[in-house]
Amino acid sequence: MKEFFDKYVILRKHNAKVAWKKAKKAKMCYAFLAPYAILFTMFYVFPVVASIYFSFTYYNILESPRFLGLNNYISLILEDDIFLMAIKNTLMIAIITGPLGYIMSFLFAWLINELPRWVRSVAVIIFYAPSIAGNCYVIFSVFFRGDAYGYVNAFLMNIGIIDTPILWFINPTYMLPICMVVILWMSLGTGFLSFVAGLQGIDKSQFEAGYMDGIKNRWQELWFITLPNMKPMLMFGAVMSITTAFGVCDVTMALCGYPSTDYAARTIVTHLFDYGFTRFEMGYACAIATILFLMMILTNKAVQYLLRRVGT
Amino acid sequence: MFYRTDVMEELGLEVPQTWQELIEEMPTIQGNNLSVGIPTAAGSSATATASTSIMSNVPDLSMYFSLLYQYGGDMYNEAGTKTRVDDEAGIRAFDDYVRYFNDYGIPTIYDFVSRFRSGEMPIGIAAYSTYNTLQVSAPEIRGLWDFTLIPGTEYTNEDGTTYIDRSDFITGSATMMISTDNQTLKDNSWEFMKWWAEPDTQVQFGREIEALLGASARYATANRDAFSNLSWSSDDIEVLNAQWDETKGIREVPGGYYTGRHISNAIRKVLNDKDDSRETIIDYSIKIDEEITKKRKEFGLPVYEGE
Repeated sequence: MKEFFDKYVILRKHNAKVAWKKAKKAKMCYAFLAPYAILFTMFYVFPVVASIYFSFTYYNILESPRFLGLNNYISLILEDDIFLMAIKNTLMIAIITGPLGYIMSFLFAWLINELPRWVRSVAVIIFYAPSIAGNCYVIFSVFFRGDAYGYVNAFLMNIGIIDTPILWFINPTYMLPICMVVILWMSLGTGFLSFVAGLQGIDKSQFEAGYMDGIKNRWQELWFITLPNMKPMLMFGAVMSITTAFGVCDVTMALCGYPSTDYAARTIVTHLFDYGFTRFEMGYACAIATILFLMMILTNKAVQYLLRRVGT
Repeated sequence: MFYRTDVMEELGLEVPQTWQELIEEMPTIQGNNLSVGIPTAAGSSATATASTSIMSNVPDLSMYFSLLYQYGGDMYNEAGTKTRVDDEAGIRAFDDYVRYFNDYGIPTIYDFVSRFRSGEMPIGIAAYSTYNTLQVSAPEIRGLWDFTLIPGTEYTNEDGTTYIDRSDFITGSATMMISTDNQTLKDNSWEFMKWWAEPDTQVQFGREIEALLGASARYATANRDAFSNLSWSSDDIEVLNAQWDETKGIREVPGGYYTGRHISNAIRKVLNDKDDSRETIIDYSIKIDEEITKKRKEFGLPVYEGE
């Protein structure tokens, strides 16, 4: 056993030496890499590592962190009911709006691709506008205002379905569904744009070759030619929709208030906000962030695995 | 409290001095398809939030706090270790407050300035900064409205005379100075603070900003000496000073961010589900106490251990 171990160490040392020599030879390449590598480490790797470190401590910004071990995670998972609610809400939003938004934006892109050029440009602007306009989701608070003058309330009262205005964003029953609709509407844009670009980039001769090889209908064309050609865009769209779905916070915060009634619209990020910026329990907030980070990485891996099977 | 003199005259109503009088006038007001505006926990109607986002969801608890203090209650016990919204006065204030919405059908979400302007809401309780907004944004009703003290609760003294408790509340924000070794830095910032809070500075600032921006920027200083020297009319100053004398401060306690949050949750729960108000506020006060205890333990302060 010991012999084997020694051998392994010698081998590793040798490998490291070779790598170092290679690196010395390729100094120039590393020099070119340096600006990006330094920035990436400073602004991405370092914060992530620091946040994972703080998640094991009690840290309130003013005092130096005190090491707690796994205590933050234990109380987060076993004691914090609101966190479980936040996870439930986030997953519900992610599961409903993520895939649905993804599929819808692909379908719309595919349909629009068939249209004449000027219709296509107009449609692209209509779909992409909500994403570039930033905070325009606030318009929904006018539609769903709890006042009798809110459009939805006024309409429902006029046709006689309700007799008193419904407090859409105050009543826990309605909050989450409305937020989901808004998020769905918002999320169409980015994926849609990349899909349109992807569809445009497919070589026409491939379709002709496909017809020669016996492609019978549009579905086969979609599955065997269009989709495999669009893998990079599909990947981009999927990653974007997952990250946005898990990172939902500003929409619910702006529409349902912060904190929302009985935490009914709480997502993981709002929970993080609460602990980080209201209570200043940074250690705890970092633990939440770390869990969110792990969840995102796992779903991304799962989606990558699924996408690899496209067109086979 | 703001009221439309023209509408009140047409309906033949007096300015209500107590909540009881306000409730008694309500059938007349509502019978004419008008309504009364009181600060609502379902969404803010205050001008300060309205100016940034009209559809604010931030709860406005001011009316509940006023009732709480008028009924002789308080937010926290003496040591600040436990909330007192679950004692008799607190429950009564809570119950009366939700009754305005559930029983009297007062609007839960509304924009006070526009409804006041249209005459739809001839009486409304709003922050006194609404005065500026109304002055500038509603020239067509200039002279047709006035403001006075908020309605109070009538009490009878032992000798048979009655008085009206019009307590209102105030919260403040604090600035923390982190101690540094640099003594001059500390002294300088202290000097600056003193200079800024002085009547002369405040008067000068208030006058200059009004000269630049007009009546919309009439400055609401917290310095009472400076306040009477600003360009408010003498009647207004009298009203505001009288209300000022009755204001009570809400203390900040460790974990205090939880109190307002859960009071508004409790109010909204009663508004949405028509739950029993007493049960609801007691349930939520337990949550408030838990957070206060948790924070006090974190800072190593003594915690509440029964009466």
